[in-house]
Parts: sequence; C-alpha cells; structure tokens
Amino acid sequence: MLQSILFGLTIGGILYIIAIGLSLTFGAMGIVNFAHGLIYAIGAYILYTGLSWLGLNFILGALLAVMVSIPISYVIERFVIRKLYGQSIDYAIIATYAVLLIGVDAIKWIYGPNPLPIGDPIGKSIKFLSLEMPLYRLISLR
Amino acid sequence: MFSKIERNPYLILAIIAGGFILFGFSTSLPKITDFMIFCIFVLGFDLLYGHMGQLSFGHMLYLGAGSYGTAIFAAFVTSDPLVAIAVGIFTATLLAFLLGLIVVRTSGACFALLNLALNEVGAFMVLVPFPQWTGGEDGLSLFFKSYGFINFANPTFLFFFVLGSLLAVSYVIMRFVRSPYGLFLRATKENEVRVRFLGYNTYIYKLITFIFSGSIAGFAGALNTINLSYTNPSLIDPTRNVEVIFAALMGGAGNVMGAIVGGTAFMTISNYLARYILRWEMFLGIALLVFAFKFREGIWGYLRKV
Repeated sequence: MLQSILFGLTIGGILYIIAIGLSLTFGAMGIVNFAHGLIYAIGAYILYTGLSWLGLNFILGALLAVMVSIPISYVIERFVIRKLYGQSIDYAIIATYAVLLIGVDAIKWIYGPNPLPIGDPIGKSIKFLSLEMPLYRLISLR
Repeated sequence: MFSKIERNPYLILAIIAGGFILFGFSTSLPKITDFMIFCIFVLGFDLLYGHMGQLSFGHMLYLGAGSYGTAIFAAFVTSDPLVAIAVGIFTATLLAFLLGLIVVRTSGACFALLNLALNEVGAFMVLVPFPQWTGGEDGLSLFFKSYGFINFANPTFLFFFVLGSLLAVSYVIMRFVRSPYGLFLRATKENEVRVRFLGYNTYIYKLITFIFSGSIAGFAGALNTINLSYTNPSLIDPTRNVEVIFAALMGGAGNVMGAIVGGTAFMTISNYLARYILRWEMFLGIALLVFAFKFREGIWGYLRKV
C-alpha cells in the first residue's frame, strides 16, 4: 500500500512537470496544446535512442532529448499554432490534435508500436522499513 | 443547385434514402449499416458543434452510455430488442441531463476538456469497477429475440430499420433547426452575451440541446449494439472522439446534409484507405490540418456555394 503510494507520488511528480509546461501555453498563449503529450513522448523516445543506439549515458541522453524536442516544438508553434492565435479555440484544439495524430503515427513508423525497455539508470534502491524504492524514482520525485 | 436542395426537407430525405440504398446494394449491406449508424452519431454531435457552437471532445461517452444501457438491459433483464433500444436511449438521456447540468455552464476550451475528462471517467467505470455487469475488457456478447418480421439478425431488415432511423433523426433535426428554437440557437452561437441581454435564459436552452444531442448519440450507440450484437469498451474509448469531430468538420458543420456527407466520407476513408495504407491515421491528421486551416466550410459547405 505505502509502496504504491510512493510510486504514485513519483508519477505525480513527472505529471506535474508536464502540466506546468502545458499551463504555460494555456495561460500565456490561450491555446490548448494537445501536441504537448507528443513532445513528451518524443523526449522519451529520443532518450531511448541515445541510450541504446548511440550508447550515451543517461544524463547525455536526457540532454539530447531536450535538445531535439526544442526544434520540434518550434516547428509546431511556427507552422500550426501561430496561424490560430485570436481565432476560435476549437480550431486550435483540432489542429494540435491533428499534429498529435501525425506525430504518434510517425513514432510508430520509426520505432514500432510495442513498448521499448529502458534500464534503471542508477540501479540502486533504498530500503526503509520493508519499503523498497529505486533511487532513480526518488530523484525524479525531488 | 445544391443550395436549392437544402431548402426542401423532403428532397433531402429522398436523396439520403436513395443514396444509401444504392450504396448499400452495390457494396455490402452490413458495412453500409455501420456507415448509417455513424451518420446518426455525427448528426447528434453536429447539433452541439455546428448549431450550438460548442466543441465537445467527449461525445463518445453518450454513445457508450446508449450502447452499454442497451447491452446490460438485454443481458440481464430481457432480450427484447425494441425495449432494449428504448432503455439505451433513456440511459444516455439521463446521463446527458445529469452531466449537462454541470458541463453546459462552461464554454470554449473548458467545455471540450470537461467533456473529455468525463469521458475518461466513463471509460474507466466501464472497464474496471463492475466487470460482472459490463464485462470489463471483453464486453458483453448478446442475443436478441425476434418476433414476427422484426428480426435483427436479418441484415436486410436491419439495414432498412437503421435507414428509417437515420431518416427520422434527420427529419427531426431539420424541423428542430428551422423552428424558432433553432433560430435562437444560432443567435446563441453568434453572441451569447447579447442573447442574454435580450432577457433569455440561455442556460436552459443550451441544456436542452445538450440532452437532445446526447440522446441521439445514445440512439446511435443502441443501434450499434443491436447491429454488432455485442458491446465492448472501444465504443466508449475517449481517443475515438476525433473521428466524429473529423467527420463533422469534413462534411461541413451546422448542416444535416453536411453531417451525413462527412460521416459517409469518413467511414469510406477509414474502411477502404486502411486496406492500402498502413499508417492511415497520419493521413487523417494531415487531412484534419488542411480542413482546420484552409477548408473550414467542409465538403457540403463548398458544394453549397457552387
């Protein structure tokens, strides 16, 4: 029980990082960006590429993921969202959802539809009163 | 020429009936039955999107409510198909009323996202908490009894039953839109604040439209259950909302004929294109972008201007 609460907290931490980015676009630009989840997925897949294909370590892989997702978000803003400022928000939702569909299909095309495994980057865990917590998850909770 | 067709409701009904009968007998009846059920769903959605001007991203919830209402009633109470359809519609209407009380107060992005959230809740409720009632992942497999000539296992009878339902729903919506109520709805779409200044309570009117739209979606769900004689969670899947939005946008929002053209075109694409192109969702995304940027009036809206 406590174990799953702790795991839930780490997932909540990750979701918080996603949501803070989304609320930035919604609050500042007035656009609901459905393609936000796509950028999140692209980050994960680039990390996978860095780790298993290029043989980078985890930190460099994460940096690479950030570096790749920046130009992709720029392209989405420049060619899709910029045309929709000040118009009905429905079109922004539909257009960004269309971007999401295209991106998800492109990812499936490149990497295949099955989940890909990534190892725990630290490989240590902390034991505390019969609770076992991988250290990596604790760091992401911070 | 096309704008003249639109002024005569009976001409529209005749074109719909003739077109679907031709299409059905030249390809295969069960497939076109599917197309028509989807068209009914698009009509219900379009009432909300095209006529009321609110984009709902969670209309699959009402399709699923109608479908599961029918299925659970048929599986546990009686396998009478007509009563089961009525129960399905009633379930969706009740759900639309209860949720509409909250949802209709919002508008714009909040309306779309609230509907999406409620759809997620509905999909979870079907999948996880009551597997003995809803069948969980597998759904329910059903048997409907037949009496007299009312035999839903017969594809020809089912085809004409669904065609009749489609014509009835189209006719009701056409009357609804042309009435003073429909005019009022259009005024609300253009500028809600001004309508409220004129002294009307827009909340009640929007709620009634929402319930009506939900009950039509529930009817489509009930017909879907009868057609497939099973139900499964893909009928309430939130990720499938984009299909109906795409169909309404492609045909031309705010128009009975547009909804039917869009629904048929979408089903044709998803049935025939998927055979040739594996990644047809990418095509769907690109087409959606084109429609959202360059071609907002849709196919029927374009034909109407010609």
